[in-house]
Amino acid sequence: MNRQFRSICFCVLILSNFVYLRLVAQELYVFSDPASTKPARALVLKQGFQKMGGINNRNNTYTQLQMGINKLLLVHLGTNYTGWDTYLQYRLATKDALYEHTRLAIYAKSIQSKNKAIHTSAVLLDGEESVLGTGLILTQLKHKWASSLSLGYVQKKDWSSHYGKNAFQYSFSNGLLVYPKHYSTYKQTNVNLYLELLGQKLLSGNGQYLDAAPAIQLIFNSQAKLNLGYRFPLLDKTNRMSNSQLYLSADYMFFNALPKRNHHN
Amino acid sequence: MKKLILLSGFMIVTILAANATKANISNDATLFKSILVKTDQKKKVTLVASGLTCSMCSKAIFKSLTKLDFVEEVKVDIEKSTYILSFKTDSKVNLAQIKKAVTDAGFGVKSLVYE
Repeated sequence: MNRQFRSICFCVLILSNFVYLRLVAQELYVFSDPASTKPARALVLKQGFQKMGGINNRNNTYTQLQMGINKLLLVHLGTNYTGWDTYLQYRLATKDALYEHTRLAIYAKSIQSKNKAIHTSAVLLDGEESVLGTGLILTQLKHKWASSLSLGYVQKKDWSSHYGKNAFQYSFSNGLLVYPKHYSTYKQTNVNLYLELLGQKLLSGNGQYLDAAPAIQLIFNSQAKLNLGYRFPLLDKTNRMSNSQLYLSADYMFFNALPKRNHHN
Repeated sequence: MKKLILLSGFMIVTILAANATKANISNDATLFKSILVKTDQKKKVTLVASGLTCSMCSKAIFKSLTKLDFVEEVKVDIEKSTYILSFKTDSKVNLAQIKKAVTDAGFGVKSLVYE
């Protein structure tokens, strides 16, 4: 067994424990989005910082505005100050019951960057180049277990015929609440742990990568989040410029912030 | 590549396994027609929301319910996803708007009792 395969087995083992230890689940993922959208008329202001590793070891500052347009539609507008990105997510299906839900969403995103990474085979998603993408997200919360799977397609807006143009993008995310053991008020600080697997398989060429991304999250007053995560490759057969990152972000949700439409019942 | 296929298989199997137990969702369409009720402060609604476990989700519902203009106070049991609403004197309580406040927050209504 080589090292990469052992790493994958280790991650699968941890994910299995999330299921069988029956811990309290969380789906407020740090490196991906669940199929659940934001509350209608909610506004989230997010500030992130990435310390990239690898050939390109730059720092990346990121600011994002997230808007719950209605109960089904979510819009993100973000910038890393060398470009901007737009993300739309629409909830296609919802099945709710007490302490559980199954949700399916479709998303589309556009990253517009001043930078070009035409000599890189992987499709880069952290503002290094301009990208279009779409896909599906399936999230299931069932009592103590929340799991989310996303499958998508990403394509460079500018590419060289010698390098990659498009890729299959996927993620598998799990999370759990470690504190508090019992909720009593909204003022309790929550501590959540996450483990996500983030992968890409190039459609032009044989390259692929699979990253693990553990993270810790603090939630204050049931309204503000502080996220700290580290993303590193379990396997990497691409020449992407950065293959690891230290990630820190904070966000604050303003409930009922967007104007209300008038209804006549 | 073989490892990737195995891993993908694991992901799909876990999602399908969780899906195997079907959720028991009541068909509440007929329960929440728009009903206008003139009330006094002794009347209340006990609502159980569905589809959530976390306090941030619960707070989204709480904030949405407290925005309703006929609601005086909302008491919440986060762990039981239960909300007890009391109303302003001589206000008109619209049960459909209460339900909409919960669904707008991103969740469902498991039960709603007006008493």
